[in-house]
Amino acid sequence: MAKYGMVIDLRTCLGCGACIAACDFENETPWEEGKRRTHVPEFIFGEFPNVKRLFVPRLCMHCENPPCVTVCPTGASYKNEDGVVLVRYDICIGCKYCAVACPYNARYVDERKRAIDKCTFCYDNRVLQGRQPACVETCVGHARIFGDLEDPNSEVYKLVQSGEAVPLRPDLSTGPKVFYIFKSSVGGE
Amino acid sequence: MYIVQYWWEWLIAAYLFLGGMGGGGMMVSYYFCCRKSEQKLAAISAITSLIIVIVGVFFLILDLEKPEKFYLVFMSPHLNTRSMIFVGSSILTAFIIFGLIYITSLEVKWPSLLGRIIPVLPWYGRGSIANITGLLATIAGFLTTFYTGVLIGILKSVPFWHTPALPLLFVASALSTGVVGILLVNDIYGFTKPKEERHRYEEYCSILGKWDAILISIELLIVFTYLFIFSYGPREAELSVQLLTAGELAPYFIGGVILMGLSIPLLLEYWHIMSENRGRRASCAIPMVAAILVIVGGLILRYVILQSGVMTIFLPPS
Repeated sequence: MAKYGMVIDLRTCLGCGACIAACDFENETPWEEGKRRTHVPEFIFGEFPNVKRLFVPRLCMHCENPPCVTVCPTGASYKNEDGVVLVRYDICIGCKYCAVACPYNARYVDERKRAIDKCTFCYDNRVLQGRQPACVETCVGHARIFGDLEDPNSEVYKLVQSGEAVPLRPDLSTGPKVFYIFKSSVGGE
Repeated sequence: MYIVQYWWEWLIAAYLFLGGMGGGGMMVSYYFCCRKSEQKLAAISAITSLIIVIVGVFFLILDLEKPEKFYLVFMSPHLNTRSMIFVGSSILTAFIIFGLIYITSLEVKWPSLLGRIIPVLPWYGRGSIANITGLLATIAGFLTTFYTGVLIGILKSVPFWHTPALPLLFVASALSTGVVGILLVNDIYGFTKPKEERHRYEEYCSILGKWDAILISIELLIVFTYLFIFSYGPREAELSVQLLTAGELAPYFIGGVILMGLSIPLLLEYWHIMSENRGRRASCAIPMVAAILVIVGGLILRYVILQSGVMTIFLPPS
Protein backbone atom coordinates (compact mmCIF):
# COMPACT_ATOMS: atom_id res chain seq x y z
CA MET A 1 0.00 0.00 0.00
CA ALA A 2 1.30 3.36 -1.00
CA LYS A 3 -0.01 6.88 -0.97
CA TYR A 4 0.77 8.20 -4.40
CA GLY A 5 1.11 11.88 -5.02
CA MET A 6 2.73 14.36 -7.34
CA VAL A 7 4.79 17.50 -6.93
CA ILE A 8 4.81 20.02 -9.76
CA ASP A 9 7.75 22.39 -9.79
CA LEU A 10 6.48 25.58 -11.37
CA ARG A 11 10.04 26.93 -11.55
CA THR A 12 10.96 24.44 -14.22
CA CYS A 13 7.71 24.05 -16.18
CA LEU A 14 8.37 25.46 -19.65
CA GLY A 15 4.78 25.22 -20.81
CA CYS A 16 5.84 22.99 -23.72
CA GLY A 17 2.77 20.78 -23.38
CA ALA A 18 4.67 17.51 -23.80
CA CYS A 19 2.87 16.17 -20.72
CA ILE A 20 -0.47 16.84 -22.41
CA ALA A 21 0.60 15.04 -25.58
CA ALA A 22 2.09 12.11 -23.67
CA CYS A 23 -1.09 11.75 -21.62
CA ASP A 24 -3.37 11.99 -24.66
CA PHE A 25 -1.30 9.32 -26.41
CA GLU A 26 -0.99 7.01 -23.43
CA ASN A 27 -4.59 7.23 -22.29
CA GLU A 28 -6.31 7.85 -25.64
CA THR A 29 -8.22 10.85 -24.36
CA PRO A 30 -10.86 12.51 -26.56
CA TRP A 31 -8.43 15.44 -26.98
CA GLU A 32 -10.01 16.51 -30.27
CA GLU A 33 -13.05 17.60 -28.25
CA GLY A 34 -10.80 19.52 -25.87
CA LYS A 35 -11.28 16.83 -23.21
CA ARG A 36 -8.01 15.97 -21.55
CA ARG A 37 -6.76 14.58 -18.28
CA THR A 38 -4.17 17.30 -17.85
CA HIS A 39 -3.97 20.93 -18.94
CA VAL A 40 -1.25 23.55 -18.71
CA PRO A 41 -2.89 26.97 -18.41
CA GLU A 42 -0.67 30.00 -18.72
CA PHE A 43 -0.84 33.01 -16.44
CA ILE A 44 0.60 36.42 -17.17
CA PHE A 45 1.16 38.90 -14.39
CA GLY A 46 2.00 42.56 -14.48
CA GLU A 47 2.41 44.95 -17.40
CA PHE A 48 5.17 45.45 -19.91
CA PRO A 49 8.11 45.63 -19.25
CA ASN A 50 7.59 43.98 -15.85
CA VAL A 51 5.78 40.92 -17.04
CA LYS A 52 5.87 37.48 -15.45
CA ARG A 53 4.66 34.25 -16.95
CA LEU A 54 3.62 31.20 -15.05
CA PHE A 55 2.46 27.80 -16.27
CA VAL A 56 0.39 25.87 -13.78
CA PRO A 57 -0.16 22.29 -14.96
CA ARG A 58 -3.31 20.80 -13.54
CA LEU A 59 -4.78 17.34 -13.26
CA CYS A 60 -6.86 15.31 -10.83
CA MET A 61 -5.64 16.07 -7.31
CA HIS A 62 -6.39 12.51 -6.12
CA CYS A 63 -7.78 13.98 -2.91
CA GLU A 64 -7.62 12.20 0.41
CA ASN A 65 -11.30 13.04 0.98
CA PRO A 66 -12.52 13.17 -2.60
CA PRO A 67 -15.90 14.91 -2.94
CA CYS A 68 -16.42 13.07 -6.24
CA VAL A 69 -16.41 9.74 -4.37
CA THR A 70 -18.76 11.02 -1.65
CA VAL A 71 -21.43 12.10 -4.15
CA CYS A 72 -21.21 9.16 -6.59
CA PRO A 73 -24.41 7.11 -6.17
CA THR A 74 -23.20 3.89 -7.80
CA GLY A 75 -19.71 3.74 -6.30
CA ALA A 76 -18.23 4.14 -9.77
CA SER A 77 -15.86 6.79 -8.42
CA TYR A 78 -13.65 5.33 -5.73
CA LYS A 79 -10.28 5.71 -4.07
CA ASN A 80 -8.15 2.60 -4.32
CA GLU A 81 -5.79 1.11 -1.73
CA ASP A 82 -2.91 3.24 -3.05
CA GLY A 83 -4.89 6.46 -2.63
CA VAL A 84 -5.54 6.88 -6.36
CA VAL A 85 -9.02 8.10 -7.32
CA LEU A 86 -10.38 6.01 -10.18
CA VAL A 87 -13.63 5.44 -12.10
CA ARG A 88 -15.29 2.06 -12.73
CA TYR A 89 -16.56 2.88 -16.20
CA ASP A 90 -19.00 -0.04 -16.37
CA ILE A 91 -21.10 1.15 -13.43
CA CYS A 92 -20.76 4.89 -14.10
CA ILE A 93 -24.23 6.03 -15.23
CA GLY A 94 -22.97 9.47 -16.21
CA CYS A 95 -25.03 11.59 -13.81
CA LYS A 96 -22.15 14.08 -13.73
CA TYR A 97 -22.64 14.74 -10.01
CA CYS A 98 -18.93 14.01 -9.44
CA ALA A 99 -17.91 16.44 -12.17
CA VAL A 100 -19.90 19.24 -10.54
CA ALA A 101 -18.64 18.25 -7.08
CA CYS A 102 -14.95 18.39 -8.04
CA PRO A 103 -13.56 21.76 -6.91
CA TYR A 104 -10.58 21.27 -9.23
CA ASN A 105 -12.60 20.71 -12.40
CA ALA A 106 -10.66 17.55 -13.20
CA ARG A 107 -13.35 15.50 -14.91
CA TYR A 108 -14.93 15.21 -18.33
CA VAL A 109 -17.49 13.03 -20.08
CA ASP A 110 -15.97 10.53 -22.48
CA GLU A 111 -18.69 10.07 -25.10
CA ARG A 112 -17.11 6.83 -26.33
CA LYS A 113 -17.21 5.26 -22.88
CA ARG A 114 -20.47 7.07 -22.08
CA ALA A 115 -18.93 7.65 -18.69
CA ILE A 116 -16.93 10.14 -16.69
CA ASP A 117 -13.20 10.02 -17.13
CA LYS A 118 -10.22 11.67 -15.49
CA CYS A 119 -6.52 11.35 -14.67
CA THR A 120 -5.62 7.97 -13.16
CA PHE A 121 -1.95 8.72 -12.43
CA CYS A 122 -1.56 6.03 -15.17
CA TYR A 123 -2.19 3.59 -12.34
CA ASP A 124 -3.18 0.43 -14.24
CA ASN A 125 -1.14 0.99 -17.36
CA ARG A 126 2.14 2.17 -15.80
CA VAL A 127 2.39 2.56 -12.04
CA LEU A 128 1.47 -1.08 -11.36
CA GLN A 129 4.29 -2.06 -13.70
CA GLY A 130 6.73 0.07 -11.74
CA ARG A 131 6.80 2.86 -14.29
CA GLN A 132 6.15 6.57 -13.88
CA PRO A 133 2.98 8.22 -15.21
CA ALA A 134 3.34 9.27 -18.86
CA CYS A 135 3.32 13.01 -18.08
CA VAL A 136 6.11 12.57 -15.51
CA GLU A 137 8.30 10.41 -17.73
CA THR A 138 8.09 12.83 -20.64
CA CYS A 139 8.57 16.14 -18.81
CA VAL A 140 11.74 17.79 -20.14
CA GLY A 141 12.10 20.21 -17.23
CA HIS A 142 11.52 17.49 -14.61
CA ALA A 143 8.72 19.69 -13.40
CA ARG A 144 6.57 16.70 -12.51
CA ILE A 145 7.75 14.45 -9.72
CA PHE A 146 5.74 11.36 -8.82
CA GLY A 147 6.09 9.07 -5.82
CA ASP A 148 4.86 7.69 -2.54
CA LEU A 149 4.00 10.44 -0.09
CA GLU A 150 4.51 8.00 2.80
CA ASP A 151 7.97 6.82 1.77
CA PRO A 152 10.55 8.98 3.62
CA ASN A 153 13.11 8.25 0.91
CA SER A 154 10.96 9.57 -1.91
CA GLU A 155 11.52 13.00 -3.41
CA VAL A 156 7.85 13.90 -3.13
CA TYR A 157 7.88 13.05 0.58
CA LYS A 158 10.83 15.37 1.20
CA LEU A 159 9.41 18.23 -0.86
CA VAL A 160 6.02 18.04 0.83
CA GLN A 161 7.38 17.55 4.36
CA SER A 162 9.80 20.49 3.97
CA GLY A 163 6.84 22.71 3.16
CA GLU A 164 8.38 23.65 -0.17
CA ALA A 165 5.54 22.05 -2.11
CA VAL A 166 2.03 23.12 -1.20
CA PRO A 167 -1.42 22.08 -2.42
CA LEU A 168 -3.89 24.37 -4.19
CA ARG A 169 -6.80 25.56 -2.04
CA PRO A 170 -6.09 23.40 1.03
CA ASP A 171 -8.90 25.37 2.72
CA LEU A 172 -11.39 23.24 0.78
CA SER A 173 -10.24 20.38 3.05
CA THR A 174 -10.33 17.71 0.37
CA GLY A 175 -6.69 16.83 1.02
CA PRO A 176 -5.25 17.19 -2.50
CA LYS A 177 -2.26 14.94 -3.22
CA VAL A 178 -0.85 17.10 -6.01
CA PHE A 179 1.48 19.76 -4.66
CA TYR A 180 3.08 22.79 -6.25
CA ILE A 181 6.38 24.57 -5.79
CA PHE A 182 5.64 28.24 -6.33
CA LYS A 183 8.69 29.88 -4.78
CA SER A 184 11.30 31.40 -7.08
CA SER A 185 9.05 30.90 -10.06
CA VAL A 186 9.94 32.46 -13.39
CA GLY A 187 10.37 36.17 -12.85
CA GLY A 188 12.26 35.69 -9.63
CA GLU A 189 9.43 35.98 -7.13
CA MET B 1 -10.68 33.88 -14.68
CA TYR B 2 -13.55 31.74 -13.50
CA ILE B 3 -15.62 28.83 -14.71
CA VAL B 4 -19.37 28.41 -14.38
CA GLN B 5 -20.42 24.79 -13.98
CA TYR B 6 -21.47 23.53 -17.39
CA TRP B 7 -22.48 19.98 -16.50
CA TRP B 8 -26.10 20.52 -15.59
CA GLU B 9 -28.40 22.51 -17.83
CA TRP B 10 -32.09 22.61 -18.79
CA LEU B 11 -32.90 18.97 -18.12
CA ILE B 12 -31.67 19.15 -14.54
CA ALA B 13 -33.23 22.61 -14.06
CA ALA B 14 -36.55 21.16 -15.25
CA TYR B 15 -36.12 18.16 -12.96
CA LEU B 16 -35.39 20.32 -9.89
CA PHE B 17 -38.42 22.44 -10.76
CA LEU B 18 -40.85 19.59 -11.50
CA GLY B 19 -39.74 17.54 -8.49
CA GLY B 20 -40.40 20.54 -6.27
CA MET B 21 -43.69 21.48 -7.85
CA GLY B 22 -45.09 17.93 -7.72
CA GLY B 23 -43.93 17.49 -4.14
CA GLY B 24 -45.62 20.74 -3.14
CA GLY B 25 -48.79 19.88 -5.06
CA MET B 26 -49.26 16.64 -3.14
CA MET B 27 -49.66 18.62 0.08
CA VAL B 28 -52.57 20.54 -1.41
CA SER B 29 -54.15 17.28 -2.53
CA TYR B 30 -53.90 16.00 1.03
CA TYR B 31 -55.58 19.17 2.24
CA PHE B 32 -58.48 18.60 -0.18
CA CYS B 33 -58.83 14.93 0.73
CA CYS B 34 -58.50 14.97 4.43
CA ARG B 35 -59.48 18.48 5.49
CA LYS B 36 -62.17 19.32 2.94
CA SER B 37 -63.40 15.82 2.02
CA GLU B 38 -63.09 16.66 -1.65
CA GLN B 39 -62.22 13.18 -2.87
CA LYS B 40 -62.38 13.85 -6.58
CA LEU B 41 -60.48 17.12 -6.42
CA ALA B 42 -57.92 15.42 -4.16
CA ALA B 43 -57.51 12.61 -6.70
CA ILE B 44 -57.08 14.99 -9.64
CA SER B 45 -54.56 17.08 -7.68
CA ALA B 46 -52.60 14.02 -6.59
CA ILE B 47 -52.56 12.58 -10.11
CA THR B 48 -51.32 15.91 -11.46
CA SER B 49 -48.60 16.08 -8.78
CA LEU B 50 -47.55 12.50 -9.45
CA ILE B 51 -47.37 13.03 -13.21
CA ILE B 52 -45.31 16.20 -12.69
CA VAL B 53 -42.79 14.34 -10.51
CA ILE B 54 -42.63 11.38 -12.89
CA VAL B 55 -41.94 13.71 -15.83
CA GLY B 56 -39.21 15.30 -13.68
CA VAL B 57 -37.67 11.90 -12.99
CA PHE B 58 -37.85 11.17 -16.71
CA PHE B 59 -35.79 14.32 -17.38
CA LEU B 60 -33.29 13.28 -14.72
CA ILE B 61 -32.86 9.87 -16.35
CA LEU B 62 -32.65 11.46 -19.80
CA ASP B 63 -29.74 13.60 -18.60
CA LEU B 64 -27.69 10.50 -17.74
CA GLU B 65 -24.99 9.38 -20.16
CA LYS B 66 -26.36 5.85 -19.71
CA PRO B 67 -30.10 6.30 -19.16
CA GLU B 68 -30.69 2.59 -19.65
CA LYS B 69 -28.58 1.87 -16.56
CA PHE B 70 -30.46 4.17 -14.17
CA TYR B 71 -31.35 1.15 -12.02
CA LEU B 72 -27.72 1.10 -10.80
CA VAL B 73 -28.71 3.98 -8.50
CA PHE B 74 -30.35 1.25 -6.39
CA MET B 75 -28.66 -1.91 -7.59
CA SER B 76 -25.00 -1.07 -8.07
CA PRO B 77 -22.63 -3.65 -6.55
CA HIS B 78 -20.79 -0.72 -4.95
CA LEU B 79 -23.86 1.26 -3.92
CA ASN B 80 -23.11 4.47 -2.04
CA THR B 81 -26.07 5.06 0.26
CA ARG B 82 -24.59 8.37 1.40
CA SER B 83 -24.90 9.87 -2.07
CA MET B 84 -27.62 12.50 -2.29
CA ILE B 85 -28.68 10.95 -5.60
CA PHE B 86 -29.38 7.66 -3.81
CA VAL B 87 -31.19 9.48 -1.00
CA GLY B 88 -33.21 11.52 -3.51
CA SER B 89 -34.06 8.51 -5.65
CA SER B 90 -35.33 6.73 -2.52
CA ILE B 91 -37.48 9.72 -1.59
CA LEU B 92 -38.86 9.92 -5.14
CA THR B 93 -39.62 6.20 -5.15
CA ALA B 94 -41.41 6.50 -1.80
CA PHE B 95 -43.35 9.48 -3.15
CA ILE B 96 -44.46 7.57 -6.24
CA ILE B 97 -45.45 4.42 -4.29
CA PHE B 98 -47.33 6.23 -1.50
CA GLY B 99 -48.84 8.56 -4.09
CA LEU B 100 -50.19 5.65 -6.13
CA ILE B 101 -51.70 3.89 -3.10
CA TYR B 102 -53.15 7.17 -1.86
CA ILE B 103 -54.76 7.97 -5.21
CA THR B 104 -56.27 4.52 -5.61
CA SER B 105 -57.56 4.51 -2.04
CA LEU B 106 -59.69 7.61 -2.63
CA GLU B 107 -63.37 6.97 -3.14
CA VAL B 108 -63.63 8.16 -6.70
CA LYS B 109 -65.50 6.83 -9.71
CA TRP B 110 -62.80 5.93 -12.19
CA PRO B 111 -63.55 5.94 -15.91
CA SER B 112 -63.44 2.94 -18.28
CA LEU B 113 -60.78 0.29 -17.63
CA LEU B 114 -59.50 1.95 -14.43
CA GLY B 115 -63.07 1.77 -13.13
CA ARG B 116 -62.87 -1.98 -13.30
CA ILE B 117 -59.35 -2.41 -11.91
CA ILE B 118 -59.02 0.11 -9.09
CA PRO B 119 -62.18 -0.79 -7.09
CA VAL B 120 -60.87 -4.36 -6.86
CA LEU B 121 -57.81 -3.17 -4.90
CA PRO B 122 -58.17 -4.03 -1.19
CA TRP B 123 -57.49 -0.46 -0.09
CA TYR B 124 -59.94 1.21 -2.49
CA GLY B 125 -62.33 3.57 -0.77
CA ARG B 126 -60.82 3.10 2.67
CA GLY B 127 -60.61 6.51 4.25
CA SER B 128 -58.09 5.49 6.91
CA ILE B 129 -55.63 4.22 4.29
CA ALA B 130 -56.13 7.36 2.19
CA ASN B 131 -55.41 9.38 5.29
CA ILE B 132 -52.20 7.56 6.17
CA THR B 133 -50.78 7.15 2.64
CA GLY B 134 -51.81 10.70 1.79
CA LEU B 135 -49.85 11.91 4.79
CA LEU B 136 -46.87 9.72 3.86
CA ALA B 137 -46.99 10.96 0.25
CA THR B 138 -47.18 14.52 1.56
CA ILE B 139 -44.13 13.95 3.78
CA ALA B 140 -42.25 12.36 0.87
CA GLY B 141 -43.39 15.31 -1.26
CA PHE B 142 -42.02 17.76 1.27
CA LEU B 143 -38.74 15.84 1.43
CA THR B 144 -38.59 15.99 -2.38
CA THR B 145 -38.89 19.78 -2.33
CA PHE B 146 -36.17 19.92 0.30
CA TYR B 147 -33.91 17.40 -1.38
CA THR B 148 -33.76 19.26 -4.72
CA GLY B 149 -31.99 22.07 -2.85
CA VAL B 150 -29.83 19.75 -0.74
CA LEU B 151 -28.64 17.90 -3.85
CA ILE B 152 -26.73 20.91 -5.07
CA GLY B 153 -26.44 22.66 -1.68
CA ILE B 154 -23.90 20.15 -0.35
CA LEU B 155 -21.42 20.91 -3.13
CA LYS B 156 -18.60 23.07 -1.87
CA SER B 157 -17.22 23.19 -5.40
CA VAL B 158 -19.83 25.89 -6.06
CA PRO B 159 -19.68 28.31 -3.13
CA PHE B 160 -22.87 30.10 -4.24
CA TRP B 161 -24.85 26.88 -3.74
CA HIS B 162 -23.14 25.84 -0.55
CA THR B 163 -25.53 27.52 1.85
CA PRO B 164 -28.60 26.54 3.89
CA ALA B 165 -30.44 29.36 2.13
CA LEU B 166 -30.54 27.35 -1.11
CA PRO B 167 -32.68 24.40 0.12
CA LEU B 168 -34.92 26.90 1.94
CA LEU B 169 -35.33 28.92 -1.25
CA PHE B 170 -36.13 25.78 -3.22
CA VAL B 171 -38.65 24.62 -0.59
CA ALA B 172 -40.41 28.00 -0.67
CA SER B 173 -40.43 28.04 -4.46
CA ALA B 174 -41.53 24.39 -4.66
CA LEU B 175 -44.42 24.88 -2.26
CA SER B 176 -45.43 28.06 -4.07
CA THR B 177 -45.37 26.47 -7.53
CA GLY B 178 -47.10 23.37 -6.15
CA VAL B 179 -49.88 25.44 -4.60
CA VAL B 180 -50.48 27.48 -7.76
CA GLY B 181 -50.25 24.37 -9.92
CA ILE B 182 -53.13 22.86 -7.98
CA LEU B 183 -54.88 26.26 -7.99
CA LEU B 184 -54.96 25.96 -11.78
CA VAL B 185 -56.18 22.36 -11.58
CA ASN B 186 -58.89 23.40 -9.12
CA ASP B 187 -60.03 26.29 -11.32
CA ILE B 188 -60.11 24.23 -14.49
CA TYR B 189 -62.03 21.53 -12.63
CA GLY B 190 -64.40 24.20 -11.30
CA PHE B 191 -65.14 25.42 -14.82
CA THR B 192 -66.45 21.97 -15.75
CA LYS B 193 -69.08 22.26 -13.00
CA PRO B 194 -72.46 23.95 -13.33
CA LYS B 195 -72.49 27.64 -12.39
CA GLU B 196 -74.29 27.18 -9.08
CA GLU B 197 -71.55 24.82 -7.79
CA ARG B 198 -68.64 26.99 -8.83
CA HIS B 199 -68.47 29.19 -5.76
CA ARG B 200 -66.91 26.30 -3.83
CA TYR B 201 -63.98 26.21 -6.21
CA GLU B 202 -63.70 29.96 -6.19
CA GLU B 203 -63.38 29.73 -2.45
CA TYR B 204 -60.57 27.19 -2.77
CA CYS B 205 -58.96 29.45 -5.34
CA SER B 206 -58.94 32.27 -2.81
CA ILE B 207 -57.51 30.05 -0.08
CA LEU B 208 -54.71 28.79 -2.33
CA GLY B 209 -54.05 32.33 -3.58
CA LYS B 210 -53.60 33.48 0.02
CA TRP B 211 -51.23 30.61 0.78
CA ASP B 212 -49.24 31.48 -2.28
CA ALA B 213 -49.02 35.15 -1.34
CA ILE B 214 -47.48 34.10 1.99
CA LEU B 215 -45.08 31.67 0.29
CA ILE B 216 -43.98 34.26 -2.29
CA SER B 217 -43.34 36.78 0.48
CA ILE B 218 -41.14 34.25 2.29
CA GLU B 219 -39.39 33.41 -0.97
CA LEU B 220 -38.64 37.07 -1.71
CA LEU B 221 -37.23 37.47 1.79
CA ILE B 222 -34.96 34.44 1.30
CA VAL B 223 -33.83 35.60 -2.17
CA PHE B 224 -32.84 39.04 -0.95
CA THR B 225 -31.03 37.72 2.13
CA TYR B 226 -29.28 35.09 0.03
CA LEU B 227 -27.97 37.58 -2.54
CA PHE B 228 -27.19 40.27 -0.02
CA ILE B 229 -25.04 38.00 2.15
CA PHE B 230 -23.19 36.57 -0.86
CA SER B 231 -22.56 39.99 -2.35
CA TYR B 232 -19.93 40.21 0.42
CA GLY B 233 -18.12 37.05 -0.70
CA PRO B 234 -16.62 34.51 -0.92
CA ARG B 235 -15.25 35.66 -4.25
CA GLU B 236 -16.86 32.96 -6.38
CA ALA B 237 -20.28 33.58 -4.83
CA GLU B 238 -19.82 37.32 -5.36
CA LEU B 239 -19.30 36.58 -9.05
CA SER B 240 -22.50 34.48 -9.05
CA VAL B 241 -24.44 37.37 -7.54
CA GLN B 242 -23.00 39.68 -10.20
CA LEU B 243 -24.00 37.28 -12.97
CA LEU B 244 -27.56 37.22 -11.64
CA THR B 245 -28.03 40.89 -10.87
CA ALA B 246 -25.88 42.68 -13.42
CA GLY B 247 -24.45 40.08 -15.78
CA GLU B 248 -25.79 38.00 -18.61
CA LEU B 249 -28.35 36.25 -16.39
CA ALA B 250 -29.83 39.50 -15.08
CA PRO B 251 -32.67 39.70 -17.65
CA TYR B 252 -33.75 36.18 -16.66
CA PHE B 253 -33.25 36.63 -12.95
CA ILE B 254 -34.48 40.20 -12.44
CA GLY B 255 -37.05 40.11 -15.22
CA GLY B 256 -38.10 36.47 -15.18
CA VAL B 257 -37.83 35.56 -11.52
CA ILE B 258 -37.97 38.67 -9.33
CA LEU B 259 -40.49 40.67 -11.39
CA MET B 260 -42.50 38.20 -13.48
CA GLY B 261 -42.26 35.18 -11.21
CA LEU B 262 -42.56 36.77 -7.78
CA SER B 263 -43.38 40.49 -7.53
CA ILE B 264 -46.14 40.73 -10.14
CA PRO B 265 -47.93 37.54 -8.97
CA LEU B 266 -47.69 38.78 -5.39
CA LEU B 267 -49.29 42.09 -6.36
CA LEU B 268 -52.01 40.28 -8.33
CA GLU B 269 -52.75 37.94 -5.43
CA TYR B 270 -52.74 40.84 -2.98
CA TRP B 271 -55.15 42.71 -5.24
CA HIS B 272 -57.41 39.67 -5.32
CA ILE B 273 -57.35 39.34 -1.53
CA MET B 274 -58.08 43.05 -1.06
CA SER B 275 -61.01 42.98 -3.50
CA GLU B 276 -62.48 40.04 -1.61
CA ASN B 277 -61.99 41.80 1.71
CA ARG B 278 -63.98 44.70 0.36
CA GLY B 279 -66.79 42.24 -0.22
CA ARG B 280 -66.49 42.15 -3.96
CA ARG B 281 -66.89 38.85 -5.73
CA ALA B 282 -63.42 38.72 -7.31
CA SER B 283 -62.84 36.63 -10.39
CA CYS B 284 -60.46 33.72 -10.15
CA ALA B 285 -58.89 34.81 -13.41
CA ILE B 286 -56.41 37.03 -11.58
CA PRO B 287 -54.96 34.29 -9.34
CA MET B 288 -54.84 32.08 -12.43
CA VAL B 289 -52.70 34.59 -14.30
CA ALA B 290 -50.53 34.90 -11.17
CA ALA B 291 -50.25 31.11 -11.04
CA ILE B 292 -48.96 30.84 -14.60
CA LEU B 293 -46.37 33.56 -13.92
CA VAL B 294 -45.25 31.84 -10.70
CA ILE B 295 -44.79 28.53 -12.52
CA VAL B 296 -42.74 30.02 -15.35
CA GLY B 297 -40.71 32.00 -12.79
CA GLY B 298 -40.06 28.85 -10.77
CA LEU B 299 -38.59 27.09 -13.77
CA ILE B 300 -36.41 30.08 -14.65
CA LEU B 301 -35.24 30.25 -11.01
CA ARG B 302 -33.86 26.70 -11.16
CA TYR B 303 -32.20 27.44 -14.49
CA VAL B 304 -30.48 30.65 -13.39
CA ILE B 305 -29.32 29.08 -10.13
CA LEU B 306 -27.65 26.29 -12.12
CA GLN B 307 -26.23 28.73 -14.67
CA SER B 308 -24.78 31.01 -12.01
CA GLY B 309 -22.81 28.20 -10.38
CA VAL B 310 -19.35 29.74 -10.41
CA MET B 311 -16.89 27.00 -9.45
CA THR B 312 -14.10 27.34 -6.92
CA ILE B 313 -11.22 29.39 -8.20
CA PHE B 314 -8.13 27.32 -7.47
CA LEU B 315 -5.54 28.73 -9.85
CA PRO B 316 -3.57 31.92 -9.25
CA PRO B 317 -5.28 35.11 -10.43
CA SER B 318 -4.09 36.04 -13.92
